[in-house]
Amino acid sequence: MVTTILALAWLSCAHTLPPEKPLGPPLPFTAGAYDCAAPATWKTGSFAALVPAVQRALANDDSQGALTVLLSSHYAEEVTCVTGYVHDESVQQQATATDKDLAARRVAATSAWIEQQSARGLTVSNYAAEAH
Amino acid sequence: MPEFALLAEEGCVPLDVLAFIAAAVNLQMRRDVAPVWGDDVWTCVALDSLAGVNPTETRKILTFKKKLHLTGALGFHTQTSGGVDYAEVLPPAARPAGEAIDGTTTSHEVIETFGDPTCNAYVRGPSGRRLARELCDPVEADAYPISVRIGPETRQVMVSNFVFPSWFHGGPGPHDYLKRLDFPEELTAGGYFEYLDENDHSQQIFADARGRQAWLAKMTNPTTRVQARVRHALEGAPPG
Repeated sequence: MVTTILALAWLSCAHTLPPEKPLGPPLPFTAGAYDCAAPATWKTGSFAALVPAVQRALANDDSQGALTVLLSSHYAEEVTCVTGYVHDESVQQQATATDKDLAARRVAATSAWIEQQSARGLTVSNYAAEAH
Repeated sequence: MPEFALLAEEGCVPLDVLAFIAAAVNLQMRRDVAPVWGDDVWTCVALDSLAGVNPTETRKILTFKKKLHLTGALGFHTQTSGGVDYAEVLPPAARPAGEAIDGTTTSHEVIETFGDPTCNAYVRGPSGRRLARELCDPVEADAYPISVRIGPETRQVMVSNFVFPSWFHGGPGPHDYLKRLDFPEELTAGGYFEYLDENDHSQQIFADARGRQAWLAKMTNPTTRVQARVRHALEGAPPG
């Protein structure tokens, strides 16, 4: 009984977390072509450590708004590198799954973000995942 | 698309490790599991929190926690009324840089949920037993490394071995991914499987004491797949 109540309380908490608010103004934006594999590109943390934050933003109904929130703690090139990685992963997932809904939503959201950054003069390369 | 979301409570798993586990499980599902089983690919995403995320019926949430509500089990499942499935697992042991990340528990959970999302599927094996359709339990203790690159970093992640359809249906091997089994319904060290007897009672076969221990650990928790199967068997055995 106690376990059930605790479990329900935990689940309740898990569902009522408010959307994340920006920690402050966005970090300075610098247009340019960035190499995602270059250590110099990573100023606020590692590539892999940023993946869960970007994935969470992409799971938000307002994915572009949620990705923009990340710009208060990460540089646009960092967020865009990870967005490119998730894009490629999701394209592969979309190709190999029968029900493609979640992957398709990620592909659309990452494409929109990458296009938006490109329009601002920011492009990224070397973000693809390799696995074997 | 059925999808697992991985979370780590209170930072008990570093976010980069979480991302590597998700990437490795995705690759394993796409490259190793789905082609053999011929079913839809399940995917796995790592999240840093659930803030702003709307869980859907196609997203299952697997949370790493330092302490489970009930000790002893590596992972357990429960279900909300909204149709979203939750699981909790203990975090993998921290590894020094350069050593493989332990993704076996996640891999095991994702593969077995892919194999039987509702824990009530049985397959009549060559012996005539109605075998629980659990794809990892017979080879529970076996794992293999997958090399994953995310951006500039490459890490090795250990994922769970799993059995092939021939393990359930008979026919020529291989019967598991690592090719350690010579026959259907065979076990590797540390493995076990469940089946329904002629009276629809749940029974278990263990490879050894380690396999029994693994099963017992899951039985101490009322929300494991093991317990879910026993409950379903008591409620009424499915056709086999």
